[in-house]
Amino acid sequence: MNKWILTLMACVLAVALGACDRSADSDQNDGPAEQLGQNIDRSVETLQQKAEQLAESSDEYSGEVRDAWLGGKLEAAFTLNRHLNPLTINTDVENGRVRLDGTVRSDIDRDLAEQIARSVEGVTSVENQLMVDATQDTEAKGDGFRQAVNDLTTTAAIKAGLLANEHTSGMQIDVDTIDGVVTLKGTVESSEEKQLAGTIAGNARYVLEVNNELVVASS
Amino acid sequence: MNRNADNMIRNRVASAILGISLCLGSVALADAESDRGGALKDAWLDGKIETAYALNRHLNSFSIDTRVDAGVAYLSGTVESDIDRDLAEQIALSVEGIDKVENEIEVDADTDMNGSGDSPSAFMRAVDNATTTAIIKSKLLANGNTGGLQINVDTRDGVVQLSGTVASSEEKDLAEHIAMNTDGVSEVNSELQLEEKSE
Repeated sequence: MNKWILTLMACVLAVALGACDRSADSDQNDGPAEQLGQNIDRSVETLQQKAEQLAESSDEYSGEVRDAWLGGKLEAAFTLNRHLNPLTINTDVENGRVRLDGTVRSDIDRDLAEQIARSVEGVTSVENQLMVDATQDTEAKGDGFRQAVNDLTTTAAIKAGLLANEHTSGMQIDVDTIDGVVTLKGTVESSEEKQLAGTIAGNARYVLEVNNELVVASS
Repeated sequence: MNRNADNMIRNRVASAILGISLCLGSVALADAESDRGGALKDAWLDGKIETAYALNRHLNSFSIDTRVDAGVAYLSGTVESDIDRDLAEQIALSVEGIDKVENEIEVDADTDMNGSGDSPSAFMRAVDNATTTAIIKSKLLANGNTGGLQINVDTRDGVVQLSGTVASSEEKDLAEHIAMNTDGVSEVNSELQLEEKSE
């Protein structure tokens, strides 16, 4: 980003000085110094506009840095997919063109990987070199990242659910999810509230089990 | 003699300057090299975090800006609640290679989520639909009673369309049952036809 602005500034100054030479010949009313001043003013305005444009576009990467950014996006899309085994899929990005290689367990997975790569914004083409190996393990294996994101998201969904329910919104309930198993801790005022919190947690997507360790305060 | 001494000093100064500039030059080159590697790594991490948000059912409708510099993730933008804000931070922290998160995300309960309500982004929908289709196709293929059948599967926003021809009404029921019992499916529209018995 800084390099961009510096380069931009250098270009704008060069253009301003160049323009000054030419306009000083044609325009006799203003002296060269005034011309230079005006040109620089104009150039500074252009520079500010450019800087604003750059700041607006969040994806200011270019060249191989942009390819690395796209590589990170593909990595996340494959790793977080609930069906693919990301460990056997290799991606290579060059100028927005993606090449996939490695092995998947079926043509179905081969197509899915390609479709996912194509749906990533910024990817211009996909060369699908994935091989099909039907003997490959059928379980989708993440690298721990997928499970971590799923657990964090489940916790957030349950917290939001507890907050949205008028009977549980005021309570201090700790929610923790590990590998789809949710643990609820804290103190509630009645066994109905405890049961309700347990039901809200159990109804969240991807929850396998709820350990309801909520304590009912004795009145 | 004086002139010789002068020359000697001049030569020494010259070689010293040359030496120093060579050293500085190589340091600068090495810096540039590691800068480049660092910039690539940071951009890769940035892309990974952005996509983790884009595919997250809680966060994908918010506009969260991410930037990574030397393994530190800088988050900004607006979300609806503290829960969302924490979730964004923890997801970034769970990315291998991110050492620290500077969370400058603001909470605004009235944030309009890009004016899109709760509907997920086109990217998330495309990935979800393609994945659901692939899971159903894989199940059909793995099931001995529907394997090898020519069933077309198409998913749009959780609604699955089955079309093609099957040999018996049992196979038709089984295929529909398999589709309906797939995570993320809300409805199955079956246009499966029974094969004409050829005598």
